[in-house]
Amino acid sequence: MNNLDVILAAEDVKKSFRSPGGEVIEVLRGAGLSVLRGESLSLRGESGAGKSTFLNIIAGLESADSGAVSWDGTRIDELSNGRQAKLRGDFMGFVFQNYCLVPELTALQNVELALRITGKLDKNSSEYARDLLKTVGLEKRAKHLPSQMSGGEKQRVAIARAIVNRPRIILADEPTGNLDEETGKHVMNMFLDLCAQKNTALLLITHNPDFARKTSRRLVLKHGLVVEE
Amino acid sequence: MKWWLYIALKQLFPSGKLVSFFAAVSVLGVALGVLGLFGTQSVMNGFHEQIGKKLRDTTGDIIIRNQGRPIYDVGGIVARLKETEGVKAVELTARGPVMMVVNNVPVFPMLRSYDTITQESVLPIAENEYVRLGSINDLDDDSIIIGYGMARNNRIMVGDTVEVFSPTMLDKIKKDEVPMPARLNVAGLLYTDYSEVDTNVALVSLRRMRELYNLGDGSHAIVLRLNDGIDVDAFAAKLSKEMEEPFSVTTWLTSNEAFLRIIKMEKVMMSLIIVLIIIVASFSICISLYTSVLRKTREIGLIGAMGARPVQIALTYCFQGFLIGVLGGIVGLGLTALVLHFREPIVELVVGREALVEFYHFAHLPVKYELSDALYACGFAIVLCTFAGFLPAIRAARLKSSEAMRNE
Ligand SMILES: Nc1ncnc2c1ncn2[C@@H]1O[C@H](COP(=O)(O)OP(=O)(O)O)[C@@H](O)[C@H]1O
Ligand SMILES: [Mg+2]
Repeated sequence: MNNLDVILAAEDVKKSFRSPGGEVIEVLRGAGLSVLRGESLSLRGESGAGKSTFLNIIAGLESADSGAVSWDGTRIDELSNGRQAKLRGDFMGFVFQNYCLVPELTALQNVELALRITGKLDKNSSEYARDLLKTVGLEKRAKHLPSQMSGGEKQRVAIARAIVNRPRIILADEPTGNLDEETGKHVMNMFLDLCAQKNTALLLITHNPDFARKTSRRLVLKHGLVVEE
Repeated sequence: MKWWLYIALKQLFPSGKLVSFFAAVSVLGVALGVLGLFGTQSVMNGFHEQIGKKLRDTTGDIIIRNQGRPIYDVGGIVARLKETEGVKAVELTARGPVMMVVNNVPVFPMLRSYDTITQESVLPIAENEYVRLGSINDLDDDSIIIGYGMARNNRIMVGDTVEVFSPTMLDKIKKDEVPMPARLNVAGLLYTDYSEVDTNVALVSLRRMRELYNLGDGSHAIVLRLNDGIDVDAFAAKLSKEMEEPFSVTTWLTSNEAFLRIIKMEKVMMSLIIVLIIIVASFSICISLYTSVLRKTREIGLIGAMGARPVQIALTYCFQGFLIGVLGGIVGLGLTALVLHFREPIVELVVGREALVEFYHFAHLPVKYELSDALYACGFAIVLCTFAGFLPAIRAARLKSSEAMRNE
């Protein structure tokens, strides 16, 4: 394994929360992982195991009590918030269980929003956004508002939005959690194919062993630690 | 375009819709506030200007008195004043109350002289058609022109004869003489559109007035009317230096100071009250934006995850407040112009013309737009609305993406 190929690494991440009652819950007790360029990983674990917490820490959205996270070799806990936000916009894409589309924007505008925020919106990238919508089968829905779309369609828009910036990695937290089984399967296949096709790494949190099986490495979060299955 | 500007615009004017309900209602609320503020101010300005104009038109600009004693045209003072630059008219005037008996009913007008010989008057009688149903040229020593309001209240018609008793007749009564009233023929009605004058004043010839008030060749005062645009105060100050001791020089501004100040005060007080409308509007904008932030917690969190900085997220909401303020201001100014354009039917509908005449002595609602008022009203709306965006903005900026996305 060449170190240069590691695009994201987390080492010995510890995180505990204090419940309102005052007791301390140790959620992560030294979790770590490394992601190689273009590989897909699944992360499973029981509800409340700390998967979302771990993902937030990896994404720099939450700070760990201790441990190190680096993107492309850069320690993100040492960056200012502004620099970190800028870097994140370019480096990562997100897909969440709740699609988190901006309700006032059309499908295409939602995809373009990722480009706007990172300052990359131009004619070419806008064309690319359109292409991506086509790839996820929504070319006819480009001008529709989220309220006019089904859950599966919304999640496909969210996938296009996550990928439009050409990120190195996409973090996905139970992206099919709100979809029925059939739709979920369809969306997930499309998602995995797209990541593979664009050579984008994927960290997928999922409950579904079938989906996990489709990733190149399968991890489990148990007792605050990440282990290979 | 900056993305936060874009989001702000899209939240106010969503794709596929002309305008969001929130934006429409908020802009309307602010616009109504601006309408209230700017509208009232414009009407108050109109009153102020109109009253000023009426006061000047009916009393003259400058009055020269002789400490209550009769004033005489000695040394050609009237002619000299008339030559002075900026002077439009100089009138030797006598003014005082009399009792007038019409159909056995006493009425107490302020009688004013009109010099039928020189025809010099500070009243713009000819220009403004102040005398109707008759003519100022019909006025002679045996006739009288009566304010139309007084005429209407007492059913006096042109051609009627009225009896006039002056205060000097009291002296005759003391000497056991029988005072003989002056019997005067009504030659016309005075119609200045200023009810203070129209219900109180009557005009007689200067010669008749001198006789009624025992003035001989004298008069009560010299009144000047200046050309428009002359600084009345400066002119009065200069004149007061030239005039010798017993004479005093006052302007219409000082003699009506209290009245004019009340109108100004009224404008300020009304503005203060109406400003509350804009404040209330900004509160509701604040609440709506805040609710919108709470509702969009997840989307805001995601925007943060996508690389947005907290300041930019805050700007999204501040800018919405700002934009509502700007639009509300513009729409408000437009509404003001529209409403005030149709003010006559509106006033008639709401209060009736009688009230207007009764309280402000006008038959028509005057309006005067001032740029500074418009700027204040809009500026105030914009500042308040921008402030209304602050609280939601801070709330949005402080949302942690991680927590926002956990939000179930
Ligand atoms: N901000 C927080 N404050 C207190 N406890 C928290 C907080 N965030 C997460 N937790 C706790 O951490 C544990 C792990 O949560 P989470 O990472 O969401 O689990 P998962 O995503 O694996 O279901 C849960 O017990 C949760 O209650
Ligand atoms: Mg979770």
